[in-house]
Amino acid sequence: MYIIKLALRNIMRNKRRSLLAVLSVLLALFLMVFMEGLLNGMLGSITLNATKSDTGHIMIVTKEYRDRQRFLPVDANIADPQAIIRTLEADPRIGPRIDRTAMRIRFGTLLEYEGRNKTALGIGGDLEGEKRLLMLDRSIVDGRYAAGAREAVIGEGLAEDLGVKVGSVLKVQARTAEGSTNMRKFTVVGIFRTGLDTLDSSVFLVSLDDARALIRSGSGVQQILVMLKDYRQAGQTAGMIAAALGDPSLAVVPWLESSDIFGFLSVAAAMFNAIYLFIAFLGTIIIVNIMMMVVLERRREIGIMKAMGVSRGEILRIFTAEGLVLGIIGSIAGILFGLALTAVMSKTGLNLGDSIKGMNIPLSNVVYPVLTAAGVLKVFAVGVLASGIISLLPARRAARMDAVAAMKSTL
Amino acid sequence: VKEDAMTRIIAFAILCLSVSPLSAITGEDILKQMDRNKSFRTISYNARMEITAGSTVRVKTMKAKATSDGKAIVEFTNAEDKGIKYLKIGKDLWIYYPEEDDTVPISGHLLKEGMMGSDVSYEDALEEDTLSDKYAIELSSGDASYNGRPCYLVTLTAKTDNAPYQRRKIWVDRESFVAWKEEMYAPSGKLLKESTVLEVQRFGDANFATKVRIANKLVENRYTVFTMTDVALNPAIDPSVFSKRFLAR
Repeated sequence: MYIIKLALRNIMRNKRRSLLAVLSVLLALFLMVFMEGLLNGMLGSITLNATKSDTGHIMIVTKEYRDRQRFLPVDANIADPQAIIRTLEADPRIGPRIDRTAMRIRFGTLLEYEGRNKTALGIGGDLEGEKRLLMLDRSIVDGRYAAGAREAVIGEGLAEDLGVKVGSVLKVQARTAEGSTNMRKFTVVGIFRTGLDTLDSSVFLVSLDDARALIRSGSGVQQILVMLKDYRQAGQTAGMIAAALGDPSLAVVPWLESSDIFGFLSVAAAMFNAIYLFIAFLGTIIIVNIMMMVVLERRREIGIMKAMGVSRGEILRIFTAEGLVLGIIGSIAGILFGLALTAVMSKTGLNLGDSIKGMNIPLSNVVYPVLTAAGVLKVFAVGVLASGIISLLPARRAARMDAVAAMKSTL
Repeated sequence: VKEDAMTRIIAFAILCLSVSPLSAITGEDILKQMDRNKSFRTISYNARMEITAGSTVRVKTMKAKATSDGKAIVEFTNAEDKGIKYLKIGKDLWIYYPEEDDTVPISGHLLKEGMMGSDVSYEDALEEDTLSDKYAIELSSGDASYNGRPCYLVTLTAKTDNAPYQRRKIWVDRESFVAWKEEMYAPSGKLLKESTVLEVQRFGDANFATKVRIANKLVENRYTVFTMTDVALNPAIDPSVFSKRFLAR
């Protein structure tokens, strides 16, 4: 304890210099806390959007579809999806875990409107059910949400590219389940803007029946999406669903395994952790400079301490503690500032604007930073650890000083 | 004396070798001869397309009419696609869908797609017979053969950006000028497609391929066999059938 007291007393001997070290650590930790919040916000946004628009918490598809998933095959459908949903809802272990289910058809298509054409992703779904899943009804900026047959809502970017307005009749061409091509005309009743470029620039939504008629899949669908009350149970519940269905031709895929994007997210998180360490060392490197100056200034003092019988280990601890205390003060201050900024940004959001346009990731263009206690503790631990490690260098130099030479020093 | 005779023989041989390329058949000549097999003003036929993808075989049937100046109309007659019509005029293509009673032009990336799920792309179907405009033609000097028949091996290399394939190798029968086999390559050198003629029908002095197998070499066991029946060369065809207005009839 006396070492801490000594460290605090020494820090106060040159307040300006200590303040400089604290400020440097503060800035690094402030940045780290904000980045942690932003990363959480971005990962959360991507996960939420990907599960709602693409994978669900659990996705049930045929194994044939799973093998060719990225080509959106329309000829590898689940023949009787309603029977599967009934089985799941009636199962006493699985049913209570399910929040909702949705049947989907996703098809690659060529849209044509008055001589202009563009490739797009068509989603066929239960229009009422999709109000709680894709939630495009909340993002309509012109017209209204689709309500029936031959009605479509279309992304704002896609509508602009085609010159389509509310009331326009789109010709939608797609490959059928039998391998032919088919065309169906749809009236655009609404234009949506979700802020998600992957949806706004290339997606349109029609009813499940219309999608089935277009691709001629009969009563079949490509995907059954299962949304759980607790998404963390996805892995376990997927296993239960596979066992309950007992159909080897089906693949039951929890969200973490259903899209490459989630693998990318874990890589991104690991990269950010490495960046934190780098920033922390950059922020604390000033402690080395300051402590080196302190060691040089106090050479006579160190010599006297050694002459009085203070051991090398104790001198090492005294100077390490001094750097560590600077680091802890800076870390706490940095975290407080970071928390304050994150609190404000979590309300206003950070508008990424056009910077993410064209990126093929389901990231909303307004990101709301999110912090968790574990995340803050992680950042604090990195800051303190980096301060401690970096302080060892000058402390080691002080501990190794020759007592007589140090006392003779005139500096 | 012997040396003098030998010199004359060598000189004669050199003369023959230097003259022979001028008189030999060229790649362009071979393509022209191939075109002679297709020298008709109009054609009508029924056709059957068997599309094999792994264990799945899908059959499409159609009736077609075409002219030598690049116009064609195809009407599908199989149950799933009944009434769907393709109209080609030069380099433009439209599809008529009877359920919607409407027509859609085919353009852009869709041209690379297979027609009705087959391995024949729209681009293949639209190609006009002007290979020398888009490709540099090279005739291989060595012997080539296909199924034991002596062939010329002609290699076409794209010289324009709008050529559908970077390189094509064609095995052309030395006698009948039937293009028995053709390989189509991507710019990377990868083999994309292979077409082989399975049956040839003789019309006058022309040899017309009536059964062709087109294999997608990027996917295992994926190919289309296109068989023409009831082929009539130079029948009278009302020119109005090659119009968008006619599609809805």
